[in-house]
Amino acid sequence: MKKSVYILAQEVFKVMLVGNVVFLIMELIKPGSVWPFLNIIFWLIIWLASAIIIVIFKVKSKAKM
Amino acid sequence: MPADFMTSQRLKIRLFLWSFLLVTIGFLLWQNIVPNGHAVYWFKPGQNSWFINSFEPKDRLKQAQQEITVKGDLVYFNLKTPRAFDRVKLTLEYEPEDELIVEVGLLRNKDLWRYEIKPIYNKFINQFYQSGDWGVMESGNTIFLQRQETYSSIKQFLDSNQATETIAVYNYNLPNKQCQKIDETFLFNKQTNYIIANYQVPKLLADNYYVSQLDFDLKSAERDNQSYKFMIRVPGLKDSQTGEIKIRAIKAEVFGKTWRQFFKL
Repeated sequence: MKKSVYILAQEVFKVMLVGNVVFLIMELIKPGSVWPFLNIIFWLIIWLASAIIIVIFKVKSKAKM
Repeated sequence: MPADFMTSQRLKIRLFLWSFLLVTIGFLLWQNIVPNGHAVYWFKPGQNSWFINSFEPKDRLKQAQQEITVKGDLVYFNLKTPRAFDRVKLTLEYEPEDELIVEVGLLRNKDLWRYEIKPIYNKFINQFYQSGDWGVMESGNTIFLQRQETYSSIKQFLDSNQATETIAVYNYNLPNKQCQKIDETFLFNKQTNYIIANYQVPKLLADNYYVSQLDFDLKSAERDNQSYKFMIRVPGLKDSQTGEIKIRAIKAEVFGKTWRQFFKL
């Protein structure tokens, strides 16, 4: 796996983490303030995908060592 | 790959992603605050709308991909908005089949179960209007039909002392006159020469669907759980086992205070 993909996944993971926390807080403060306007599932899937890429990369690099 | 190049690439990606997140949060805040005081919400059958929903009771409805069918009198739905608004312009696209009267109401008082009801479809008035045999005058929401051109304005008619039995009304109150009402029990009387109503004749589309527009003041309406409650009234379906109305779209255009009005700028 290319290092650039790993870097991208790391950045996406961080941004999505902050984004999802912000959306969760917004939903807790005012229900219906996020999900009618934004596909949260899509955000969660991208977040999860970036986490999986990071894990795969780390496992592979450990295996190489 | 050189380390400098990687760092600059990382910075570019980081800048792009954080900007994207900020724009998304800004978009969400805009949608919730509606600072320009104007928003449009849609309901189309087959699509899950958060804004126009909760069609009830289910036994009076049939939901299909293209339309929602009203099979019984009194069906309720909610208009859910992220903030309170002052006014709503409701547009309905529907096919009334053989129904005579269709009305839409907005809940004004939850405790008294009081709705402000406005007409969207009256088959009798539509027929008189479209027949070409009656003279038509319109002023705002008021429509006046006369069999012979006796009056040159609605005001002239209202100022006259026209005999009660020659007048039929719909959604209109003529002070001190008990006129025949053009409701679901209306039978045409040959003496009827004048019809006055607070009613806008709906626009007929090429595929037999009608489009009606209604304005409701939301300031004094009940707002519960972020929702305004509406009702569709079809008196002809009360006891009937047949008949139905197909609704294929509801558009709610809401107007409220802008941020300038809110902060009194």
